[in-house]
Amino acid sequence: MSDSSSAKETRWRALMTSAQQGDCVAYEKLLAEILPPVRGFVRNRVFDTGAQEDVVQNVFLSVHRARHTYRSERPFTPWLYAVARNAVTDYTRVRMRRRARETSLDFDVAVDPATLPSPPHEERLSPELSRALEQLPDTQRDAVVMIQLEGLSVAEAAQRAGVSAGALKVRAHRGYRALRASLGTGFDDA
Amino acid sequence: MPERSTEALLQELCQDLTPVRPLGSLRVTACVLAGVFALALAASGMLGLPLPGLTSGVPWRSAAFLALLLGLGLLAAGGLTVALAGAIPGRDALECVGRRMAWAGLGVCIATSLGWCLSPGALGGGEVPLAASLNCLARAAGLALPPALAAGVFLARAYECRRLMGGVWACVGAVALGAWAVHASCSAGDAAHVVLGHVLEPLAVAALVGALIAPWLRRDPVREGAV
Repeated sequence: MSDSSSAKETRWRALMTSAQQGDCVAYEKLLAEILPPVRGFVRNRVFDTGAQEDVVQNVFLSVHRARHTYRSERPFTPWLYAVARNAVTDYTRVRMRRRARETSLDFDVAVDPATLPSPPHEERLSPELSRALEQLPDTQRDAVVMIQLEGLSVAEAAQRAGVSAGALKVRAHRGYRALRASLGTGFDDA
Repeated sequence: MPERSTEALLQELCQDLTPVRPLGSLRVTACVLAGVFALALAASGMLGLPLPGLTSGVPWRSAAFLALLLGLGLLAAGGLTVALAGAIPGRDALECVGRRMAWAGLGVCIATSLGWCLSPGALGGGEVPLAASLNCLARAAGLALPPALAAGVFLARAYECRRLMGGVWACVGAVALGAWAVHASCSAGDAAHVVLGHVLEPLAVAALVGALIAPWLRRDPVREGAV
């Protein structure tokens, strides 16, 4: 882990501990600081731009409701990303269920797409790759997204996922294999 | 949803902030579970019921008996670990270890039960000793109740995600713990009784009860179907 992320981790831990004691200023600061990484995390996993901000808000509601489950002696980042991952999983489940029983109508959206925030990696993903990524199990998708799209090192990604580097490599490898199987030979895991 | 509403939500959350007591650590919770289980064993001993290892008739020599003891032990430790670690965000690695232990324990129990029952002459006359097996089931359930309640109290206060699976694993783990103690103290050594009363019945009942009570552990029903 780099010095800056280590310093950030230490600061977030301290802010969260203060927030648990009812310090509103520390909590406000913490939420403001974690908003950009949470948005990035969600946008790299939820490819429906209309739902991304809903999921971000659900992450923050979960963080608020589950704040008593954080313990100050444990790292904060894996705790935060576990909450975020669960919110994304909930969204994916609800969407799958809805997709199974509903048919969407094609209509022009009144919102100008140019005014919407563009996901950082969306332009790099083809619709086929997005679909294939969505079909991966959560743990494998997270590993692939963190390493290939967010550019994290294996150690950083493992720290964020709360698992060992070896376990993360295995997840990523399985993810690559599944992507290769669903996309044919066009996908390269290099 | 426009981004500014997220900023407004964060403001509301800050205004809504109240001090919270952090959840107890997993180590302390594990010690509490071990403590209440020891108390349940002690109470059972005071009631005149046999204690693990103290009964002269326990067939310790049988390999199948020891394999089931190992399987139930792994399932108990693994099941309770999955339930507790899964209720705290960010403890995925520990949860994964617990899940492997639990599945390994379950695999050992199933393989040993099958192997033992299929071995020639293991089932004797083919009678199913239902009354005796229900007696062991009741003892296992009685011993499992205190640790299951302690795990339930922890789960009710913990993170609400995957609560159904947490409830099932906690129930299966606690009942496996009770069944482990019963298995180590029961003097009956025939395959039909051991497999039915020490493994199949307790684990099936535990999975069913866990699935039934898990929804009641939900502390905050607002979260459902939010997206």
